[in-house]
Amino acid sequence: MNLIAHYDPEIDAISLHYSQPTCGGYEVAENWSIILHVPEKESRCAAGLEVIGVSAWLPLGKRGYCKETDTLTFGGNVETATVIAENGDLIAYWSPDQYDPDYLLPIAVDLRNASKHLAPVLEAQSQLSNVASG
Amino acid sequence: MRRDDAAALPETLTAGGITRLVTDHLQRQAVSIHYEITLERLTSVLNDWVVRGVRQDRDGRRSIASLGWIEYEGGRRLMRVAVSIDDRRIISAFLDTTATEKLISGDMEYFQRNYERLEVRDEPDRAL
Repeated sequence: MNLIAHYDPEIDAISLHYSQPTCGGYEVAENWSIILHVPEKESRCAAGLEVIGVSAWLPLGKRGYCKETDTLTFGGNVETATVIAENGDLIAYWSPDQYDPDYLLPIAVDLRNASKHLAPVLEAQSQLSNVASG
Repeated sequence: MRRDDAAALPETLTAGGITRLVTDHLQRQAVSIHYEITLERLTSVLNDWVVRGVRQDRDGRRSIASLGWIEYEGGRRLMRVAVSIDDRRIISAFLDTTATEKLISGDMEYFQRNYERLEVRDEPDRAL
């Protein structure tokens, strides 16, 4: 399954998704700007990810990036996760809501092969940088 | 909703007497994968929201979030529409599972914790 990426420089938003349909989403780590989409009700797998303001994580290495594994983590501390759901290059981490322990909330999403999937963002930023300096 | 039913969103949308730009991001979402995002639903949420407030993320980025009930796969779900803080651009929209479940269960503290300038309209029995 290929992860499809699209970057909108106007609002600095990236959408990463598989071709499978989704059935709703959750914000990640109480950030309205990071949305995890799931393929079906009750599923914990990430079928897609939307990040508004993705430049806050770039260039790679600035924040939440592991160079050895080329993995970028959007969200909080994954060590507190009680449920981990892998779906290709997207890994969703869930933890009980501190105010409602029976309710699981996504606390982070890992993006594997980050340099490949974020290439549209890096390319757009490079072009903007060239325009600015030229 | 099937891909065949997906319709492109216009570049602007008028709701509540305000005409706002629809971002390329949202337009693309509506035709590429999130077929639940339609002009009718966006307009409905912005007109008939049941919860509205300002959200701020960990980086200080702010948006105005409106949540409204929509019909989806035989039930009712809350769709959240995020509008830029200057109220000019519609940034994103999705079926907010957490908000739906929290509102149905009556957990209003969830919204009080997460939404600034929270406004709630009474909408009894509009849930699933």
